Amino acid sequence: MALLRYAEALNAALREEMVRDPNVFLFGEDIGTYGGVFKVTRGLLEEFGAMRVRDTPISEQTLAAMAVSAAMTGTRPVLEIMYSDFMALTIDALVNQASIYEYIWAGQVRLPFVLRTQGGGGVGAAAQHSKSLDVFLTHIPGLKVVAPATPADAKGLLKSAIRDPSPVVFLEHKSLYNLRDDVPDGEHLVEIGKAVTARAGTDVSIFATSRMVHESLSAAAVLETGGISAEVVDLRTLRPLDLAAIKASVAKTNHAVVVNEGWRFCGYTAELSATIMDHAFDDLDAPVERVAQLDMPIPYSEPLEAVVIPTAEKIVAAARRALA
Amino acid sequence: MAEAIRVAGAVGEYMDSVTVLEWRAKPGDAVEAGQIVVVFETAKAATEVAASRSGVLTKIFASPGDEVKIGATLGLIGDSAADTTEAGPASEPPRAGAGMAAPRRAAPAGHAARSGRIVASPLARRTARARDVDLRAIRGTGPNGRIKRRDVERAAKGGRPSPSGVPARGQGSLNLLRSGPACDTPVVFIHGFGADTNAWRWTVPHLERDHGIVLVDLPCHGASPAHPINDVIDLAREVSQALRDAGIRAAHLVGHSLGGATALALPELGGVRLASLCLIAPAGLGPDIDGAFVAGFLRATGVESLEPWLRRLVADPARLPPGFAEASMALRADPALRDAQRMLADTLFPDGTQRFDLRGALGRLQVPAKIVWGLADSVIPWRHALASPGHVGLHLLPNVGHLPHLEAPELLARLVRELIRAAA
Amino acid sequence: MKNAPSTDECVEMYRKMIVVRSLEEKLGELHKAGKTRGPIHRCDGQEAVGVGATAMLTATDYVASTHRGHAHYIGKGLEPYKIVAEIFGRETGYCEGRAGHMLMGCAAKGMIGGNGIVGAGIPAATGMALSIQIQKRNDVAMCLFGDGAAQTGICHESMNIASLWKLPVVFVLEHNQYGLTVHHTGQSSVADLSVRAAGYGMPGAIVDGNDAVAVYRAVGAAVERARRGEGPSLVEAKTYRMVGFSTSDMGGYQKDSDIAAWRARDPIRIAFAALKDMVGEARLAAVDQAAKAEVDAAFEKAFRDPFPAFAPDPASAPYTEVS
Repeated sequence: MALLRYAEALNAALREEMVRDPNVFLFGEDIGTYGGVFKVTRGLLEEFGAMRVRDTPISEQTLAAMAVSAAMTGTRPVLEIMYSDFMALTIDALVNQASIYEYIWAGQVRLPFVLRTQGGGGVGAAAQHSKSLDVFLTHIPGLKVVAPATPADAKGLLKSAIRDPSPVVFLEHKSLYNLRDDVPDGEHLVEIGKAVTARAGTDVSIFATSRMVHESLSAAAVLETGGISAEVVDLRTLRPLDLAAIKASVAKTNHAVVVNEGWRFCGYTAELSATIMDHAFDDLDAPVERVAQLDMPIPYSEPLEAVVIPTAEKIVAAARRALA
Repeated sequence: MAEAIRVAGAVGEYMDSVTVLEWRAKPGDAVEAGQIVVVFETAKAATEVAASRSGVLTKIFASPGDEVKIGATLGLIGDSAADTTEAGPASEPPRAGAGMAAPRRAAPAGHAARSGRIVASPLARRTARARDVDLRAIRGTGPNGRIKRRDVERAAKGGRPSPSGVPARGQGSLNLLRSGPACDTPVVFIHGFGADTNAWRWTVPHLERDHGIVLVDLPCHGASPAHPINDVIDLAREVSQALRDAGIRAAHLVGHSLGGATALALPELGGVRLASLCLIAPAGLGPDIDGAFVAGFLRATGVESLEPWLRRLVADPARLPPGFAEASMALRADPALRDAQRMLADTLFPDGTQRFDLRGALGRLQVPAKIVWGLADSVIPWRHALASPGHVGLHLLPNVGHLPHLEAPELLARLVRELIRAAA
Repeated sequence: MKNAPSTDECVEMYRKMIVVRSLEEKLGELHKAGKTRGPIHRCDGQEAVGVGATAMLTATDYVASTHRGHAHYIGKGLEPYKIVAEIFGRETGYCEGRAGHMLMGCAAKGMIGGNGIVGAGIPAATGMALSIQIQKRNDVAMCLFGDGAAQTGICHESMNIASLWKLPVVFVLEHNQYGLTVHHTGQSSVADLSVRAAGYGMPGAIVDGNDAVAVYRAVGAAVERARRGEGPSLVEAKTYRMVGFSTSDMGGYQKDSDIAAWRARDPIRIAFAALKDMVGEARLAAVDQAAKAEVDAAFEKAFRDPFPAFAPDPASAPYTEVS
């Protein structure tokens, strides 16, 4: 066990998997000499050399497509896309290439690549560097999408993602990179598709992703002072969704709040709400409450941004609405 | 229309009636809003009643020496000497025992009844099917009158197939009573479960000469509206809102029992700045509460059944003032209020357990704070006080029960004064 | 050095071109009869590019194709029967009927694969070449793409990266003059797209795309260069699409005189003319007959094959617990 920052936990996962499998390689903008703009790949160029740790031109569309085809021809690429906003450029590779071949070629190829990116607001990066485009990705059949909230899960999920035979989009959060927590040493794998109860409770279930897990935990602490016992479920994998965990928690609390940092309309919270309605309708004692980003561009100035992005306070209010 | 001068609720009264001492104006005199017009005698003190509006004193119904029922109209203030028609609720007979205006009635029926369609949560429907409960007989307590599981279960337990579902009783903001000099940071008193602003009548006289005082009726209590409450935060939010509506942005909070828990939760909301905190036998610091007391107190519909429970509140029942049980029962005469309090207790103290935990909030306090607790408290064990962090002062009072503000009012006032000084 | 085909290889290319042509003509007939499903993009007239460019490749080399890939499929060694079965949605097709004519792939033969997104094969082949380089293999990746695809942003990005990293990839630009209905003069600022190779610091060549041997030679040199680790090349093969964009193309934008001129330069005629003195007309006639018979048999057999049963895609399951 070591006390590691989220970024260091990711770095450890990359290093361990590169040692384990010579076909794992990293490429992306500024990941080599500079070590990544968020320092996730720091030291790896020195350790593994320029063949396996590559700085790339600014060519996201092509890089993503190359990850797909490199994966189907014997390697395990890990591509870093610097900001999730730039994922918009990769969508053709994901939606028209990566997601189709395992199925339409009837199992002739597997596509073991990981596309790492980071998103989210809260640091004044403004409208082109703060988005949470989770649903651009979770919408696509054939992709797995994970979003760790803790350093331990960051390591365990990234190692699992690299070993996964199918495409995995790995969503990091810029505000979590400095989060420090205990991380198991060495072989620590977190199964993709499994949620975790970040805090047990009995009155209301808060289903959250990425940084919103931490906002939800803060909200749960506030709710507790008012006598409300909130359960916080960290979904960890956005697709495939851990339906059993969702059903079990709703069956226990009968009230659900769903939280995601992305936009509300047609957003991830919409899918979660519908999922709960589909699978746990008769367990609901109140409509599912959604906490999501306002449907607008993320403004730059701090007080403006704070209005747009979900907060613990909004989650508290949603939980209270659910329990009203 | 002329406005009635009544025995006001400002000081509260545990008496059926009061005696008029003197009129400071005579019929035909012009009066200013705020001007003292009549003085009457309560059990312990002379109480002044100020004009609620400017105008002319047009009628006097009670002469000095007359004994009048609480709530009775003592006189009228009109626009002119000829204006002698009483406005508003004059047609309503004075409510014996209630030292305050009759609660405003809410428009009945939630949206649920609007179309005749039953609005119930899926879980409520499932529960109703399983327990063979007819949803048509239930009024929902959820938003828009939605029937939730709690409503079905209450009905299934035989707990009145719920005419009391929504104890809609009054609306608008909480009842606040102000006295003492105007100031930016008044002392705000929040009473305990089942009580009202009258709880502070023994303490406040020791403070109101030097400090601005605000007494609050919690939701479902006193003259405040009643509606479903889910947790202590709801209480705190409503108190916070009422204080802000009254222009109060900072306060020294004094809270007793459930009011203590409310006071503890209130600063977490950020609406009102806390200057100091005095918690009297507060709820929220441990799971135990005397469930038998809560149940018995709520069940009582007459003085005979209420009095034994009231005796349990204090270390020495002899300290209860004469007429205390009668006055307390009179204040609980409204069945809607009792229903509302029963639901509140079901929510906050299910099965004789405090469902909320405010120890975290206590730990986060940044202002001078004291806990005052009677060592003979049999409603909430004083040992809960031991959960408090080191920066909170403990005052454990021997031979005092659950009501230090009745049993040791001078000491309590002194402790509050010390807190105010410490916060300055 | 293997950039000149042997006589037998020339005959084999001739045979494959006839297979492709027969396939395309038969698909045209079946389309007219209402027996095909979805659009089908025929490559009549372009056979020499697909067949010639792939003739020197091995099974472990990769080819990324386009939506008009039948000549590439046959060139890379795929069987007409399994191609036809796939086109007609049969269980016995290369992809069990899931891909269709445009997206077909055969990993075992290095054909990965057809692609309906114009230009998408270019970064795909570049990525395959990256994979080969990292694995230190001696294979090459080849991208066949059209003059329409050459105008995409990913074409630029890919060629830059391929040359920057000296990736073992060969870009074969199958210049058939049209991007759907728009002539290349309405799409490109330069007539000869191979001049762009200079901008990426790689060799660029123009070759007669209707002469399979010429294509073989030019591409073969580029393949050898890639195998030597010297990086990518761009070979622009000038050809002409003698039929419409797809079976649903109403036509009307290709000049009759152009079509006639290019028909006179039909790649099969050119190959026949080159070979008849070397191997004799009789052998070529036999090859011709056998190729057509193989295609006829492929259709006959494929039509008798069953349709696939539906199976959900486990990789696409939205939940870890299916309910």
